[in-house]
Amino acid sequence: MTQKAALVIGGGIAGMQASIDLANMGIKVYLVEKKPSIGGRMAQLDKTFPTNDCAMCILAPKMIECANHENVELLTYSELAELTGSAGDFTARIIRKARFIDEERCVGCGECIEGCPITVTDEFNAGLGKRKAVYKYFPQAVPSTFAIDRRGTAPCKAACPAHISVQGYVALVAQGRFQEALKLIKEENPLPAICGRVCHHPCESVCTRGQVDEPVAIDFIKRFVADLDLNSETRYLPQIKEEKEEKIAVVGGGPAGLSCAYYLARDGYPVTIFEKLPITGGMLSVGIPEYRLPKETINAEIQVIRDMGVEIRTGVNMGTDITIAQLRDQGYRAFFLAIGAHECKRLHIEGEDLEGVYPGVDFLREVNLGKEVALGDRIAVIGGGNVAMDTVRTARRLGAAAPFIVYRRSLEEMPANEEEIEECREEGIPIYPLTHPTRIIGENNRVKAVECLRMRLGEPDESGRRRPIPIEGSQFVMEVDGVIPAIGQESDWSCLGPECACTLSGWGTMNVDPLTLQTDDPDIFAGGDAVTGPKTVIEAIEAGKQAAVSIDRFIRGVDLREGRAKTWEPVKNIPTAGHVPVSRTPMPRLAPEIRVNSFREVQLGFSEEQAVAEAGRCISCGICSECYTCAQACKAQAVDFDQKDREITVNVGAVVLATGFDLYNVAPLMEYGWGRIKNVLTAMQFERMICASGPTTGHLKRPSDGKEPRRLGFIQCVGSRDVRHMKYCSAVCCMHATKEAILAREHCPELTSTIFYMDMRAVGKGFQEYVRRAKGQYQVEYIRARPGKVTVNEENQNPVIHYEDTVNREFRAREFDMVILSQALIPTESNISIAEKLGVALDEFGFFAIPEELANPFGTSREGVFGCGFCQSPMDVPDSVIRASAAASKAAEVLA
Amino acid sequence: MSVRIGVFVCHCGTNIGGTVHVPEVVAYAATLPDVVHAEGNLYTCSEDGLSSIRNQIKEHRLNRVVVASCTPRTHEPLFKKNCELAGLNKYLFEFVNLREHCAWVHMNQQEDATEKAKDLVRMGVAKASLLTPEEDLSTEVLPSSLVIGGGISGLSAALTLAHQGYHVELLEKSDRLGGLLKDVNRVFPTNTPTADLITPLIDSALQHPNIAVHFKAELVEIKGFIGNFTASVKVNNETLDLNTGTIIVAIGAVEFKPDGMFEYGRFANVMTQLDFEKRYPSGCTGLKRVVMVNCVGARIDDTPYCGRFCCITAMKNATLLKEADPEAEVTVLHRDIMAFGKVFEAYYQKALRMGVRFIRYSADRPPEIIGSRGRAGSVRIYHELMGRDLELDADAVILTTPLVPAGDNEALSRMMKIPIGNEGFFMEAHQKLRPVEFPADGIYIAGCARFPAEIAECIAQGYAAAAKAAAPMSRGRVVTEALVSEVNPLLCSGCGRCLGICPFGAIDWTELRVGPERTRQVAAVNPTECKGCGLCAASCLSGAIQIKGFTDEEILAMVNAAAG
Amino acid sequence: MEHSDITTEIKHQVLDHNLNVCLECGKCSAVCPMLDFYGEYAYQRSPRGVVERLSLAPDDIDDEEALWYCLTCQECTFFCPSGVDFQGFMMDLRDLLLRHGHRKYAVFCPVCGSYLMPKKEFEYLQKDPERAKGLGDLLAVCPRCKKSSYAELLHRMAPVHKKMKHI
Repeated sequence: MTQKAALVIGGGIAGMQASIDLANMGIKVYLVEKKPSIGGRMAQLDKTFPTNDCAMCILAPKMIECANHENVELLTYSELAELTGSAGDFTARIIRKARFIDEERCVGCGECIEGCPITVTDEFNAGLGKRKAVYKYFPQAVPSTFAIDRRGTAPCKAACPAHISVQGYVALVAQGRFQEALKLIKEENPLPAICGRVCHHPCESVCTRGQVDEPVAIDFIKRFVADLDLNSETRYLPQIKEEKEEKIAVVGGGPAGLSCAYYLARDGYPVTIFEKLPITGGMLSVGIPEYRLPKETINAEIQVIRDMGVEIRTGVNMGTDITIAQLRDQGYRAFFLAIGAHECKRLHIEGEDLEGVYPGVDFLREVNLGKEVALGDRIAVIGGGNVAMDTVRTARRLGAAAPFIVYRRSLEEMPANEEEIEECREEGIPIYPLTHPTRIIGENNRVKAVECLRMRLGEPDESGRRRPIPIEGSQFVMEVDGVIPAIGQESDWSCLGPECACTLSGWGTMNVDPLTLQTDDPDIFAGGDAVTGPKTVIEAIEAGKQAAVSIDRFIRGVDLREGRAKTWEPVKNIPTAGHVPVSRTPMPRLAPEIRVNSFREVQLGFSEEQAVAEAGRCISCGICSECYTCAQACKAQAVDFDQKDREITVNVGAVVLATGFDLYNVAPLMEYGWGRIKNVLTAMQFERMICASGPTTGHLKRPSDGKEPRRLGFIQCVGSRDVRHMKYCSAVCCMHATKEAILAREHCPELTSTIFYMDMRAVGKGFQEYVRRAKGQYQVEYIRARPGKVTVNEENQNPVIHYEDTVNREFRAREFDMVILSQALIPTESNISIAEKLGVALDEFGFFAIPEELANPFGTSREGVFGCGFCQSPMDVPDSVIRASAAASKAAEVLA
Repeated sequence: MSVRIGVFVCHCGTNIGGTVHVPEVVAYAATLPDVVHAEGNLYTCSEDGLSSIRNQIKEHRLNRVVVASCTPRTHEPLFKKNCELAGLNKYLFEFVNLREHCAWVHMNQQEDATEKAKDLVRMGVAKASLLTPEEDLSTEVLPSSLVIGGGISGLSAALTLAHQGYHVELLEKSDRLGGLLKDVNRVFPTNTPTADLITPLIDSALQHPNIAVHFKAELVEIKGFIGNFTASVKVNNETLDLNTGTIIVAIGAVEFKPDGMFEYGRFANVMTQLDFEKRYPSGCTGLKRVVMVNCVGARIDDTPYCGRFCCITAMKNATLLKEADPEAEVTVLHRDIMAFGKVFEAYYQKALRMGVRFIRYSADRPPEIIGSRGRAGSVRIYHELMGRDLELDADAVILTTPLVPAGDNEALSRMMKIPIGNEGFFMEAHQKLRPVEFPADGIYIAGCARFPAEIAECIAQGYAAAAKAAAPMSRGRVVTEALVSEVNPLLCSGCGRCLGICPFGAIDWTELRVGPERTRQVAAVNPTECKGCGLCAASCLSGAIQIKGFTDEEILAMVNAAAG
Repeated sequence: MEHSDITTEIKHQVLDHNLNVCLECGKCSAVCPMLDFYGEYAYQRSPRGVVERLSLAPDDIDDEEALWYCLTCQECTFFCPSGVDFQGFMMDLRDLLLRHGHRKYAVFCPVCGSYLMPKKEFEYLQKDPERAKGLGDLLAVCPRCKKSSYAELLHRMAPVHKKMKHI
């Protein structure tokens, strides 16, 4: 059956005209445009030759007619995916790209632009201006809907276990918008000051800036923002949503528990944290030494959570002081177990119970709780993780003269943060890699020495690290005063009573649903180290946050899983070209000789200048930074970050192609200096400059100094009619340059223009008259010459055109204030993919081929698929409009 | 029934609300006479705003709606339709533009802008109270088209319309179809015989059941307007009346004969391109040295335009000469090579590679034909690039001349009230965006009658004009807005100014009875043809003409409101 | 007879090197370093001038000094938008002219007698020894002779050779 519908690809003047004509003939039209607005290239023009009509004034009504037509369905920001079937009965699959703004809701007011911290080059202004990541393609765009230029999720955000909008807060910091940055961070992480100090920052490992020079110091930026807030008079408190009645109990006051409490409190729930130790913070407080993470920072950040209404009870031993059963009776509706992993793993070697052997976390806990720990001078710390580093450095600060690290693998395999290892070195602490303790030797029940074995690296094991293999007969003995094993931790589950049905794994961790963190008890959730084994702070925070989401859903009785299995695909192939290397801002640190004798914080934090400068190094991988400023600004609630590309399928009888043209890149024509000489512009750049709605609001300004030019030189056929570039004539440049020269003179009456041409191809109706007027009334000079090169007068940045006047045979070098290159117009790149999808042929240049040039000038190589306008051959607006109507007529024949 | 006006003032986010203090304007609007309801909306055009308008129309029995928001250009249809949904005649809606006319232009003068917004609303309300309900006009459109001219453009238009199922009356002045191409041997850029292209078209036109071809047809008169034109056509001394819904003018153009220029008419071997093709239809010329002179009769003071494809015609015949005899010396004297676009530039390159010589001359020093005893022997040309005269031997000199308007243009223009431009070609409604339409509805233009166009373009224009004609025919009706002009015959003095001034030919004479036996000629507007531009009303000395929706009374009410 | 021969050959060379696709745009002249080299510009000897005159009237100029100005540096050929192979043409044309005995505008190797460079260029280099510095005896003999004289010199400097072992 013949479908009484047509597909038009390309929403420029030709595509719009074809659509309107088809629609007027009673045919349903799907108009597919890849840009966010219809209007095409004509929308970029200031005036049109030879009538000098304002392009927008005649185009805008056409755009509106097209958009408002009952038979036209406008599919902007869309691309064809596939076309099957045959003439009269095609099926087209069309991808509607997510614009992240709801077309139905957006009213085009532009409030969203204000706060957007991302600035990118504005392609609509031919690169002369800038626009935001959220933007309207041009002021008169149809639909008047904004779009968010979003390449995808930045690698930093994807890599962050809590998926903080890293690029977003970095961008905000770069603009000095620290409070907003903090709010954004706290959407995903309630403990940024803590994380800013101790996070293992996987974000930095994947930072694209690292491909240019070094990764952005993301963690330090975060710390700066968080410290600023904690030190301010009124700290940021998130707005509490509607207050609720259901009480929630959190067991464990470490990062997982705190995070869960924070998000539940924000949701309006009354939350109580039960903490076994006398102080809150869990491992943060008792596992990490002061010089890395001061207590006051921890307390300040926890105070914020208290200020939100969370009650924290310390020194409560769950299971003995109170039980889950009792809490249930008291009306607690859900539980989050985040008890951490505070029990040190044993070495399982001889002598482990001797006096002078302290388990690592126990040692740190004692120290952190302010207890005296007597140590000798030579202390062997066994292990290569952060706990080992913390332990050895703490031992050093407690007066041990010669603590050292014994690690069985090589330095490369050490799991501790690189900067910790580095700081360790600075403090003169030796690390003995490939050394494995086999026995602790005692004397009088006290440690005297450690017997070790030298190791070498074998094949990689399941963790991907090379397995250490003992070297036969390499035993040796080191005299020591103490041994601190720091090889890992496990959890103490005595909090669980018989009322709990939840079960443990063989590793001693809690069994939970990995997505919802729900245990076998529906009202009990668990997360953090107690579930995963010892991991990082940020992972614990994320677990707490996810538990909060689950608990909220559990209480509201909605599905726990729906929409949560989210994978974070980082954006790939980010262009890094053009970024000049700038080194990473180093973190100011306390001098080693001072710090080894105290527990003062080693890292001193960024200054405002440092933070802003460092944030400026971000290269905006995702373009949109996902800072959500636009979403907050939008009164119409049109911003939708969850929008996905959609696919629609339509049945049509015919297809009309009107993909228009692109601008040839003139940079390879080095002789003309574009990109090298500031005052050399392309014709499209000049057009945007002269346009009242353009980046200079219609004022002619030299890019070098902003001065108004007095002498303009136009070079024609730049890339056109050239065997090295495009052999064909671009058909419109002669008249375009003439128009620009006329307009320029109208803008500045003292300005003169010179057009260097080969043949003045003024072939259309009224064109000769137009050139005549340009010569007479506007004193435009036409010189028949193809200039050889453009050089620059370094003194005033004036471009100099070298040419031979081929009429009077004189060779000259003439200075201009500005030179405009009439760049070739080329078929759009998308023709290639469209041709492939449609199965139509392209010609040698990439235009849609016309197999029967005379008999069927609108045809393509596929029946039922027609072409019109510039996508078949260079032509001006009237010709494009004629061809568009003609193609519409031809398509209507198929549908008749 | 008393006038009950509802005023809806839009914040447009901060677009208006950021500058104009909207609540103040709303409060002010509520105090205006006849206003029974006023409210502010965040976005009046959103579904919330629209449904509020509909609800208030019902609740407050509003019979006039004033929306003060953005531009009628984009939003008037939306609001009008919304009024209709609520059962209110759409002509009882009035638009006030607070965004473009106030907020955007006074962004930094918030207080003054608010005052101005009140003024604008007061004017809108004053006009609204005088609005009257109107009905759109609808006319039937016959599904047939009159195509005048059987050349390539007319044939193309006729065939596509016929294929789409419309009836076509095709008028041809001569006894053969094919137009100017009848005399052309081969066509560029393929250099294939013209017959290959044109014969199938002629045959299918003659055989198509939907096409009636009238040979030797002379158009005598055309009456009527879009939907129902009547053409009186004389064929073999018989007069036919053809009724059609639309008309396509495709009468083509003729080759310029350069009598008295370049020894044309004096030397037997000086000819035009078309003469050359007629003289050597087989392509065997035996000519060894040929000089062509381009821009003869083009790009000069008398005919200032460029013939668009004359250069290409010269290239075609030059390459055909070279193909026939590669040793032949063929030189084209030109002023600029107009090989615009993709195909023609390649064609030019091909001619160059084949050894056709192109020499540029300047209009100040045109070539000179030298000959004796009725024959040209050589051409002297000042080679401006070399800076000296060259003398080129010539067995034949071919003058490349442009197409000029056919003689019938003026008669047709008068008969159909369609405009002619400076150069004698028909003038389209808008050079860029309405290139195949006339200002009057239902009449379209294609091919060289508009401006010289090469074959592919003629075909395209034929198809394009057909697309325009098919639009009203496919719907079967044309609906026009009710806001047209109206003549009060009692006030009309019969001066006829308006008839001459109407760009759409919508005003004609009619008889007014002024007594039992006496009648008098007065102007009458055909509402279907009227576009409501207002030129007639402005020009009427008697004040007999009013535009609906913009009557003097309504405009003066606004002026008074503004002044007071 | 000889005259018409050379004209025909020039015509062929014009076709071989695409000279007839010249659009007379003047870009070649504008990039020609000859201007800087000789310090003046003359249409007659610019690439474009040569191309046009040879394509239009090849008879006139088989014995013109203007044909001996080109440096055959290839700038014009590289930039020519029409793909005219001017450098190749110039080298072949000079070859042709030399074969037809046009020797007065050229300098020849005093050793082997082969063509060395246009006289104009030779004079220019000699006139300004500063600029010609470093070019050494390149000015005096052709590169091939220079190489063979080197070889000769080496033979002379090391007259005793180790006998090659014959297998």
